[in-house]
Amino acid sequence: MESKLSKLPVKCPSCQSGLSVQSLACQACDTVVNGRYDLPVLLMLEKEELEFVLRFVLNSGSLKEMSAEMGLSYPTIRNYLDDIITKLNTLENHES
Amino acid sequence: MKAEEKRKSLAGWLFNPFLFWGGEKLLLAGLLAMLLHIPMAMVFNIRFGGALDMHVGPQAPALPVILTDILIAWAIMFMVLYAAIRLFGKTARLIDIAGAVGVARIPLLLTSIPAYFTAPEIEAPEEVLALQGSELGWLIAGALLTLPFFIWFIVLLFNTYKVNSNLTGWKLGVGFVGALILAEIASLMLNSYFTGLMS
Repeated sequence: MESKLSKLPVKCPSCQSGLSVQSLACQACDTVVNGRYDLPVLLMLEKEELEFVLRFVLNSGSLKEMSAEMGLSYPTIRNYLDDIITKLNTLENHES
Repeated sequence: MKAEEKRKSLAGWLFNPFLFWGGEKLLLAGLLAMLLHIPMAMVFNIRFGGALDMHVGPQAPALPVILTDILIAWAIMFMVLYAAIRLFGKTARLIDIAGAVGVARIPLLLTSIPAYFTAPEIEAPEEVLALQGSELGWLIAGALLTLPFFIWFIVLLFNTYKVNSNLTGWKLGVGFVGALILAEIASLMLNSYFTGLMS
């Protein structure tokens, strides 16, 4: 799958703990907002997994269409989706 | 993704084409593979009596026997694999499993050729024990030639189960081995029943 998204760092390179957003900057006027914002669970997925979710939404959730588009079998596509669901559930449970 | 990389490799096509091949196309390929069993059985005197079996006989089996054999071998295997997926609460499409089981039998089909040319001329299985010299040598050569094809057949069946179930760990192993044993026993029993009716 050709990647369109760059990888957002979600783990601390030093201690491997989860990262959070501390500041947001306006590209137009350089205003900086500081605070502590948790990353959405979806953004904690790997780059390829996020690409898959994006394709899934763009294909209106049709695994059959995704299968044809990606040149992979229906069970393979369904397995990818199942694995992402399992990962999202784990991340959500870890968050709460 | 791993599946996309395997699509480009020969090993991927030989050992796990089910990652990228499914649905109606795979079912059609599986049906064609099953139909190929008929000429192979007739030309090489083979009985495919059982979900995992291939036996060389002194003459070709009758057409109704061949048809019964291959129908039982195919249907029992894909239904048992499907049941072994549902047993663990997973969902799967019967069309993918049915097609994959048909395609997985291609290596078993290929074993017919070395088996035919190396099989000793014996009437009863126990006569194998009395084989000597070149006949015994040919028998061993035949076994060594057919073994890789049989392993290939089992690998394809395993990947059918793995891709369609998305199971891992002990569930994958136990589910697959249990399904093979059950399919073999059920197919042999059905074969015995229908062969009895036909004789």
